[in-house]
Amino acid sequence: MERLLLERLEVHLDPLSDERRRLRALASARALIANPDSSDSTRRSTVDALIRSLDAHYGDPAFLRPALKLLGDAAVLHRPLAPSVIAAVRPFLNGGKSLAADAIAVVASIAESSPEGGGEGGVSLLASVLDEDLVLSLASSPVSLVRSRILNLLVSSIGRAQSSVSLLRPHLMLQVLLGLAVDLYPLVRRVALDGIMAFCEVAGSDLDGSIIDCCYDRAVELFRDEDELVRSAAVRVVSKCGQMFAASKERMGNMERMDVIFVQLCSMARDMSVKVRIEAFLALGKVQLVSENVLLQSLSKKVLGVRSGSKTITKWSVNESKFSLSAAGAFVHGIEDEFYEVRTIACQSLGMLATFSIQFADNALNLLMDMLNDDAEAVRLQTLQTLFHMATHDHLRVQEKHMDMFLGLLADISALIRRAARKVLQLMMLPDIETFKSAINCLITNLETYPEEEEDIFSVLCYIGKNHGNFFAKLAKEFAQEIVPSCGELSLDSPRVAAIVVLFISSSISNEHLTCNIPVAIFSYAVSLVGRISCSLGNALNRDALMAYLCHHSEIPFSDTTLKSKVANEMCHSWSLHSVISEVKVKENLLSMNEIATHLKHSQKGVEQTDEELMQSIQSILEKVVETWPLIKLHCAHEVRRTLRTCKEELEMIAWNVSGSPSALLEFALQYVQIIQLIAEIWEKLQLKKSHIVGTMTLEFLLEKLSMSLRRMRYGFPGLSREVECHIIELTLLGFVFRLCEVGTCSNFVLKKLQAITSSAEFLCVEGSSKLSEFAKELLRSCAEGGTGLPVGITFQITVHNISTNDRLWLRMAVGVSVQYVFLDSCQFTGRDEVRKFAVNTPFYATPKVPSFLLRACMLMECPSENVTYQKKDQRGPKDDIFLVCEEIEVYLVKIDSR
Amino acid sequence: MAIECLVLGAGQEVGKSCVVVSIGGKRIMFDCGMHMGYLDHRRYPDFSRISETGDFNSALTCIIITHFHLDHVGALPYFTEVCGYQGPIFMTYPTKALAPLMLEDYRKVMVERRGEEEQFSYDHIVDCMKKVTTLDLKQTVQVDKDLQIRAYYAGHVLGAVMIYAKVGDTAMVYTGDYNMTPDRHLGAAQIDRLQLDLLITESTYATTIRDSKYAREREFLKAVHKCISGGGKVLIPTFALGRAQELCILLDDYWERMNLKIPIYFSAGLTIQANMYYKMFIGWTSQKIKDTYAIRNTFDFKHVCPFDRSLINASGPCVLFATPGMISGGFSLEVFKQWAPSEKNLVTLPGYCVAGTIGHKLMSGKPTRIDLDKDTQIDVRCQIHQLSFSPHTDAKGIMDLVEFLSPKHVILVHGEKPKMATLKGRIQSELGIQCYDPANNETVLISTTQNVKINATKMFMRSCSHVDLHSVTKSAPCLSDFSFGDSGASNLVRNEKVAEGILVMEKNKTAKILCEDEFLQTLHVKEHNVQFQYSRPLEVCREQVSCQSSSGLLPSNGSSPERW
Repeated sequence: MERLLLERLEVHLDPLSDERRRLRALASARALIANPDSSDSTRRSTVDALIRSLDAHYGDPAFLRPALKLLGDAAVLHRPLAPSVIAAVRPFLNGGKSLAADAIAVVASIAESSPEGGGEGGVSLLASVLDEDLVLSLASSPVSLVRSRILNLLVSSIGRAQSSVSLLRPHLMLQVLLGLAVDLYPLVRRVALDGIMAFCEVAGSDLDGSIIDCCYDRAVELFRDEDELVRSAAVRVVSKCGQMFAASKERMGNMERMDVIFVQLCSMARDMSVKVRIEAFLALGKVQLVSENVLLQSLSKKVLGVRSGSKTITKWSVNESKFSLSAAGAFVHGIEDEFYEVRTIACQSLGMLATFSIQFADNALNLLMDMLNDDAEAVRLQTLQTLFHMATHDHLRVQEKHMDMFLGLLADISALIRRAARKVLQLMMLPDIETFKSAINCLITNLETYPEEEEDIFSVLCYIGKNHGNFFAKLAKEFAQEIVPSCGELSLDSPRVAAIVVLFISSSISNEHLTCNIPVAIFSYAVSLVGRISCSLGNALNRDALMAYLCHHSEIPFSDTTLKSKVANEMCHSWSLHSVISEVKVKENLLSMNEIATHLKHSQKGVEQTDEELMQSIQSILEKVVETWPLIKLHCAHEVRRTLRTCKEELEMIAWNVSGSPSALLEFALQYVQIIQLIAEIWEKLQLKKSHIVGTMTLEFLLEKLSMSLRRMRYGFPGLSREVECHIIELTLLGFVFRLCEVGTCSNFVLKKLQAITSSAEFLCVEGSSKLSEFAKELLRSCAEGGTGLPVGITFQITVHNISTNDRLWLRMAVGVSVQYVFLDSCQFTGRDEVRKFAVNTPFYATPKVPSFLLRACMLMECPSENVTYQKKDQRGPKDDIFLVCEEIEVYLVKIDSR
Repeated sequence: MAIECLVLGAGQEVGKSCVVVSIGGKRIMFDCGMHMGYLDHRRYPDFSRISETGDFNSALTCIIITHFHLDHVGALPYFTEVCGYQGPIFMTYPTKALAPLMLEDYRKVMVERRGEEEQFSYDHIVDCMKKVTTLDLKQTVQVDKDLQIRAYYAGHVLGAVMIYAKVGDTAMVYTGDYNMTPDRHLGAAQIDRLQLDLLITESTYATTIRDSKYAREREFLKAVHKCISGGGKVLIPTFALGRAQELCILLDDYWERMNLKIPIYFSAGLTIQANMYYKMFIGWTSQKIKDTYAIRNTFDFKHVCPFDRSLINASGPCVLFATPGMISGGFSLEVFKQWAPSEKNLVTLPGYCVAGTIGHKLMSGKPTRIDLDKDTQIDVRCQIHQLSFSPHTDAKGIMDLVEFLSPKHVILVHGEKPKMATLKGRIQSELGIQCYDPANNETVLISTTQNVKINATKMFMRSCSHVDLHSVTKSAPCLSDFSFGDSGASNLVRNEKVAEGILVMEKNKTAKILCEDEFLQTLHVKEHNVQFQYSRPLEVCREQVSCQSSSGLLPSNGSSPERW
């Protein structure tokens, strides 16, 4: 079949056969080449036949053009054919007639598909076909298609050519590009400009100043081109040249020129074509080293005064006024543009230029603030981003008149805009106390309308409070009156109150001197908000540090020493203990760890064989361990784990080469690192698992492991010094505190054990010279507290579905391990429908005597069908098996101090 | 060829725009407006100056109306139906749709309210509109063999255009009213870079340079928002077309963004009908509306609903659009009487109010009491906010347009005399363009340069379309790195483009320019090569060398092969 086709092809390609046959022959040749089943020899003979026919049909473009195209495709499909195809096509390149265009296309497509992916290989292939003379003659061909094709080829080769191979030497290349940039055809002009652009980019800073001049001049000439695409390409080139001038060595000499470029670009910003305007504003944003008065002129439609008073020659001043005229108000027009794309970019460029001059930034701000009312969301968003950009460069000086519009954006319907607006507000320095007040009010309204954005809003409030301590100080009293209720009832659910509390806390944290003016009560309110605040503060302030701070100021752990209740209750004061831990963490533990490092050294001094070197390396490793402490607190679990692991490895390395008594020392240190590792682990777990549902087992396991290790340390190494023992005891105490933190596991037993250990620590200290650490003291005091407070009434709104009167429903309330059950009489439920509602107000008796605690409540249903098997006597509650009807809810209770 | 420009209206004033331009035997009337300030003969342009005999059909080639405002179209029914002009009239689709509304509304006010004798009847308007040919944007219309006209977008109001007219080589642009900065509902004026002999431009704001429109919008929104959040009612008296839609879009958008629920009312009547047209002519609106209308037509206002008379005294805040704009009567006056006495309420005023209207009284100072007539007095305690949304371009915009078009001459119309003089000075000194500001009924004669057309052959065009890079570059120094030295750089910029050709002028034929190569062919002459040969024996001691050389001379074509 192939052979048959091939033979027929030969016949039909004969120049004497009629035109239709010849074209049909081309079609079958294409089929032969493209068919994947064709043999290589068939392909080759097809191509050979075609190549032969080229000569035979010389002067018949109707045949030659498709034939050339086909040859090109054949070479692309089957690389081995490429050399012969190129050789056949080569003669067509001469003469610059229209067939040369087709020949160029063939060569280009072959080069493009070269195995090296059109990279250097492609260029070297091109260079082998096209020598300089040929390229130049093609570029000056009278046929526009030839010019445009060769130009495309050149331009695409610019980016790729590495220094080794290139089609033209640089100066010739530039000459061709500059020449063709004034071609009669807009397409050619545009490509030539793109080529100049690529040329400049490749050459980078190596380019000589005079050459940039040439490119620049040519591009400026084309500013008045008829074709919009040529104009936009010209703008790009001028922008590039401007950047190169600015980057060049004699940049200072170019100042005047930069002004001119800026003005020229400004005049292009008034172009009738959107594309050109977009390019012009993009370019304006990239200009550097422009003098301030020219910059300012672009913000004002009115022509500002002559740039410098000394120049009085009339001719000059006419130029000068024309100069200013074309720059006048470019940005005013830009931000009013009909197309939002232009407005967006104009706004962006304003932001970029605003970093150069404060005066410009101020004037630009007037425009930007107006743009916040734009009807396109994209523009409003960009405006806010620009403001943010200015704020980060410290060039944002808002005035009172701006604030109205700006604060209005906080009520915008788009969440994106609101968020962006708050982001700016966060960094803003408010001009006066009135704006401060209205900003706060707007944020509060914002919070009321969009409670889901609480986190973000709190964070902004924190920043504002932090940054404007002085304003806040003046208003503190007013705010305090607003939230501290006269009748003693405070609703932290009210967004307003919560917001103001946040403000109080944030401003007091950063401005210590303000703290004394703030009513203590506010700190205790804030305790209950700590989760919400610290979340919104993100990384700025650690949650525990905040908690500690609040507790310190609200004096929570010490607040009720007068209470005489001695009975250690099974209450969990998880929060206050938490605070104790964190506070201790900050100061004491760090210290004591340092101590242990030195103690170790001292205690082991007696060992003669210990050489200083060993000692020192252990010392340094332990110091590293000490350094991890802040990281543990910051929850950098990963970091901590890595550091500790390396410490451990290093110790093990040392242990390899050591024998005898130093190995005991190493063992001790290793053990110590192990303990810190455990503590870090537990710390992490405690922070993460707020719900205490998942992972309790592992936590339990870790705690057990910790206490085991501690015991081993304490009793496995006889002859420890008192200080070291004290430290270990403290760590043991810490372990117990951890247990207490875990709501539900704390028990009388733990508390008693805690007390016992504390007293032993006390004993140790009394015996020795060292003092009991703050941590232990705090703990002692906390242990002494406790007791049952007054019963608290809690109202539950209950909605049940599909409940019959026979069902026995219970309400279970639990704090720590003390549980209280309330039977819900189904008669109380109103309505007979499937859905019934019911409000129950029930007292909870086992209130712990703590500032705040967590109560968990849930609904249970008793399974009545089971027989009674086991009955707890001391329990008032469901007697049969139960199951949970709903998810457990958590109720936070905070004690409001009446003081 | 000269252009003769007769200004029949809007010369050194605002009102009754009407300019008659004669170019190359063609006479075009641009706009045919009426003056709202006069009630006597001065309200119409003096048509007798066009033709003393009253044969307007032969005197005028066509009339072109730029937009539907009465000061641009008001005299048209009178001119066609009463004066008897029967020739072609051109206007855009929206203008054709909205102009009758305006004319009929005006006629009603004149006849029914003021009891004047009517200048033209409803039938006149209908008949007049039947003669109108519609134009589309950038559509070139061949009015007759010589006259070409084309419309360009002008902003200003829906359907407003600038007109380009060309007779032979002479071209001009009449801008009508235009706006170079876009509105919410209209785009900015847009025109090509044209070769013009004359530009006739409006100059309403000949000296004003306006700041950004955002500031004006902000002021307005702030005032309205403040009023309604204080529980007050806002009365916005507007003209039915144009500003009403602009403000509505502004408020609707603001309501949407700020999630406000307070009702915005549109008083019934003309405005509802007008809104329908705005919805239809989306192609003539701003980019934003064009972009989004497929999802939601901006003129389907979300928060705007029709007003019912019973709501005037309903409690609670609201915003109301009511006609007419200057509170000269009608519904806006009725509402004003009710709302003015409360200091919680707000009344906005349009940028311009005719003397004698309540709007004008409110603008000039803040009166506490307005006497409506002998018996009725209104206590004015409400707040007043003056709007400054203008659909006219400012001085900067005029200068920008003039600079962009760079015509040979500029005529200013539609402005105030002293301000026009200032602008005229600026155009002449800063742009170096001859400028005139004729008064009404004055004629300006402008001479235009005469161009001689010659034909060029294809080959000639090709020969001048490309630079011979080959020859240039061969002489350039060949350096491989980027620094070419001084000579190299100067070589690069060298760009003299000289095209050589031969001008052939034959009797009764347009002159023609040819390439050298085709010259002989054109003359049907064969090329002759004359070769000179000389030989001289050279005697050298041992061998004899004969040296031959030849050189061709160029008898006619300049290029001859060199042969050795």
